[in-house]
Amino acid sequence: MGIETSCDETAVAIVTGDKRILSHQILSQKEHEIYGGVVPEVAARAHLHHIDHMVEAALGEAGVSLPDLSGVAVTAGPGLIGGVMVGVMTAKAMAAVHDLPLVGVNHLEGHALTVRLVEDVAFPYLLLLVSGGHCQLLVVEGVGAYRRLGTTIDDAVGEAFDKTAKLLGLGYPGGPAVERAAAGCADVKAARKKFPLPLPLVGREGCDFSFSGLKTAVRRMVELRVQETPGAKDVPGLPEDDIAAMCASFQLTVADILCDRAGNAIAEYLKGDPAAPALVVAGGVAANKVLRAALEGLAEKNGLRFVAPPVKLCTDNGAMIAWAGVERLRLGLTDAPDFPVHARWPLDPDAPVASRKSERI
Amino acid sequence: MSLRTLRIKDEEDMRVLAVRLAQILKMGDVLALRGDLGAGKTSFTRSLVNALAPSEEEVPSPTFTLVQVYERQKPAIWHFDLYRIEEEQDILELGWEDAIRFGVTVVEWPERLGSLMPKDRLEIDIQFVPDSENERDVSFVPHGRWVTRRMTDE
Amino acid sequence: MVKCLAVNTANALMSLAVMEDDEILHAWQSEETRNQGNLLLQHVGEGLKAAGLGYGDLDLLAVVTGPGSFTGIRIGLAAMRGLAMAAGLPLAGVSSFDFYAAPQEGYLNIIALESWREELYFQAVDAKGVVIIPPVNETMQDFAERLDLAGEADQPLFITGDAAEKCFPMWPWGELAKTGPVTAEAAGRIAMKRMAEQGVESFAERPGPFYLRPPDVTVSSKK
Repeated sequence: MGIETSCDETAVAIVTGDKRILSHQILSQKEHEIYGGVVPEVAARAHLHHIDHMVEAALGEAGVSLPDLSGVAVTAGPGLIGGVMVGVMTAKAMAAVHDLPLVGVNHLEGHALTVRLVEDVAFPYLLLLVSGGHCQLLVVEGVGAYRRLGTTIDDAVGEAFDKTAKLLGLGYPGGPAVERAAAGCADVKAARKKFPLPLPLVGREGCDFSFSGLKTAVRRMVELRVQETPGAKDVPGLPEDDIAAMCASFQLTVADILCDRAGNAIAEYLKGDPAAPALVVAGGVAANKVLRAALEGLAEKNGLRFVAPPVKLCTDNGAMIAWAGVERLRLGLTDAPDFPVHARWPLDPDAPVASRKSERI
Repeated sequence: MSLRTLRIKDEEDMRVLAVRLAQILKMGDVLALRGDLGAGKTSFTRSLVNALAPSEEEVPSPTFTLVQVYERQKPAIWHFDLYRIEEEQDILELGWEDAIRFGVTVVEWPERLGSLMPKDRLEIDIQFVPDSENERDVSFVPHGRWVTRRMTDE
Repeated sequence: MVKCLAVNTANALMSLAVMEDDEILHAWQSEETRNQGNLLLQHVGEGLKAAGLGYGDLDLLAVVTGPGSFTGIRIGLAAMRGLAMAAGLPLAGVSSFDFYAAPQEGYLNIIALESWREELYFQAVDAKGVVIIPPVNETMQDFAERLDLAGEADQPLFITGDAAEKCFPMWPWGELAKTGPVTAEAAGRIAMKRMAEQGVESFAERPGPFYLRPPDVTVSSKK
């Protein structure tokens, strides 16, 4: 069983060692909140009200009882400590009563290993982890062995999507909203010409990302368009075509940035001469089809197999934690009942600090 | 109440200031950071965190995560960005009580604290200098027991 | 014979008790509350072992639901709700206020609880347990004013609760009583009494946290 409460999803799932998902319970606070109201991450307080019932529901769906489990895995960080604590205490309580092995899972490791729940992918593989709070390129060398090649020096890519969606009045979460709006753009090339956006760090060495400048550029682009449009006082006054075109331009810009940085990472990864080279994309942003297609093209060009888990396993869920638990249990990597929680928990603590040379105070 | 304003030349100057302030911080201290977007609040915090870190570490903006905790420092440093917060209750959800009891707390957008605003705090206001890209005016406004504290070792 | 495991993590003193009716089989407390989450269930396990019991031997669980430390409340509730679910046991939620009743007829009882902020948690009850002023989270000055307005300030007073000593200067004619935090043992007694009076059915729904917010917060934007 895997329990995930580190962000705004309360999720519990039960998976088996032979890759069957017996239950997949997920309760998203996002769906119930109007954006601009409650800050979604903070709706995490709801974890406490739901988690025990979610566990019961997961057991019911799978048709098993607690003593049947081989172990309980739970996200122990990184994330909002309050939410993480609720999941961890619940897991520890269940393990105490039924004497089950406990595994404290790094949320990012959950994302990193999910692909092995659905496909046979051998270590080492190159992982692009893109979500609301993270944007990293890692070589996954094994369970618990990660080498970070690059990370964002400011914002995560999901944050850029959310900001853009908000600026364009498209609602929350921003990723699907921007993707939906961009789908209405008939001529993507023209859109990009009409609404050009900067490509921070692109063409430079290294695998780090920067999205803060892009965020600012989107704001300027939107403001400028409002000024230029006769009769438009604000964003809702803009023609739908313009909004679609701006979304399309933004999405392609992000795709270019990801591909450029991932391209450098592929070169670095191939130096290690992996037996079955693969590029894996994970995290909520990996649900975006345009980004997926661009990255798939990049992988193909470089002779890498491209793998992305299905969308329901890309966003935060319990199955990824359960699976990380399976991988760890197999190696005998269980945790003592007093294991701590971590608000910050890098996968590769030895990675060099991302360069900030380009940044002003 | 005393108020001091320092003219900061550039990022390095700001870093030195943060490092000096870091030396006197102790458990329970609260720094309230004010200043416009881009004035350098996160950059200031980064220097502060790194001044107390055993080795350099990343200090991302907490705008998305709302809070970042640096546990390698003793006491731990809690870096809050309350811009998106609308209810005081939500701040408590972020671990506010643990921060002010057991850590050093740095808060951006402290006005969101409302009734949670601690009596004892040092307010630091970072302002742009007109017609200058790199200069900043940094004002210190002590409240509560900060009034009688020496802020630097000069 | 009711066997009860009670836990309090809401205050400055973390405590647990394993009881059989009025008899305490094992009790443990600690002022180290910082890492209580990591250690709570270990202490519970050791406590049960010391009492010679397993989870299956218990009849009732009790937990203090607040008001108090947010983190502490959440840790205690998550752990105890987890135990209740996993062991199939009823769980009673006990409010910190439940513990402090006026010790003597003719007195008004001011209950003052620690919040680690300027605003404390207050409630006023009479000796019969009738609530005169329902729970609030405010400064002692504001609560004193509220008491004046209610015309209740002139009575003989007891000041109780873990913030009572702090508040004594506000009502110097009052008497201090029960100034310690709620103990797990007390929570266990209250829970067992409730089970005897109202039956186990009254615990059908697992309790939630008793958070109490300041009255002057910004207007909620929730639906």
